[in-house]
Amino acid sequence: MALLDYANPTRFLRLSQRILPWLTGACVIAFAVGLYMSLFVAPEDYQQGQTVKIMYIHVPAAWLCMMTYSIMALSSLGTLVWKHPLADVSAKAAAPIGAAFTLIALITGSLWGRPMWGTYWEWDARMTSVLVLLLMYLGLIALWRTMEDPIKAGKAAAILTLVGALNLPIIKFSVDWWYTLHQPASVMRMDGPTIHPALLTPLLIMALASTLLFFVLHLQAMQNEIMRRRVRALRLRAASSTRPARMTATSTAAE
Amino acid sequence: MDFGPYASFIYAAYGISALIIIALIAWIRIDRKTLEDSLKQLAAHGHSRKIKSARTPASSETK
Repeated sequence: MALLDYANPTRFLRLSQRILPWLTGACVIAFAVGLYMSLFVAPEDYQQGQTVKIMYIHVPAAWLCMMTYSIMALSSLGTLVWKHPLADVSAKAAAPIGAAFTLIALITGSLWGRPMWGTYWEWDARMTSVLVLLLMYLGLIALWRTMEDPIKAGKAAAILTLVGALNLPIIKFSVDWWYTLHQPASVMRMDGPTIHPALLTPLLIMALASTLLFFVLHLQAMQNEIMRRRVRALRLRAASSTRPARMTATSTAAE
Repeated sequence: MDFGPYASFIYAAYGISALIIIALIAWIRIDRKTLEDSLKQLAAHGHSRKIKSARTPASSETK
């Protein structure tokens, strides 16, 4: 089956309905294992002490806020270049989820920063660029809500999303380009992770659980968006079928 | 479970994250319910996606 065959919203709904229970089950299991390992099995960090436990939610949330935006940027290309009918549905559905993960990353980062750095917030490059990412998400959600026509809104949002994607390398490499409070990458490195496996394993399981959660919520939000467009189309059809009747009634009354 | 002197920060981080995720799930569920109700309401007024195929035999009968 070609990729374009999945462009059919009805086929997508059927397929996603079939996948969702399996994804949800895998997500619940991954979270159960991940939370158990993070809270009860993982040892203290020799420098951070028990506050390392915040990293098990902060780091996956930070990865996902960037992954979500990358998916939105790819979907935006799908909207503008390939005119894939589900591309802007995907981008619109992902935005609130990305905003939620960004908010989690910022809040948990602040809660970790207070005991470790002595401050909740510092205007360093990493934190500021993630805050900009949250503002981008909120701006895109607002843009979709202010435009009535979903096709026009999708195109405008796609352009804005692609412009905003310039922020992604800034977030990723900010710790290398500028002096910041954040340490350089310690998991995704060319020479391998520098974290001890006892701390790395729960982190990776929590990252897998969060990624599965993203896909579960994204598929459900995409289903909702397809339904919303059907409701809109039916309402427009209903309005256009009642309009001639009203016009006839008005003209008869005038005669 | 002893998280030491910074336990309140750890509990707050996990608690707030859970609240945000629960709010997101609730929003998606409520949105789905609202949309399903709207579709049912439209169908009750004779506006559904199957309207064309449902009308075809009737229209051919009238002919």
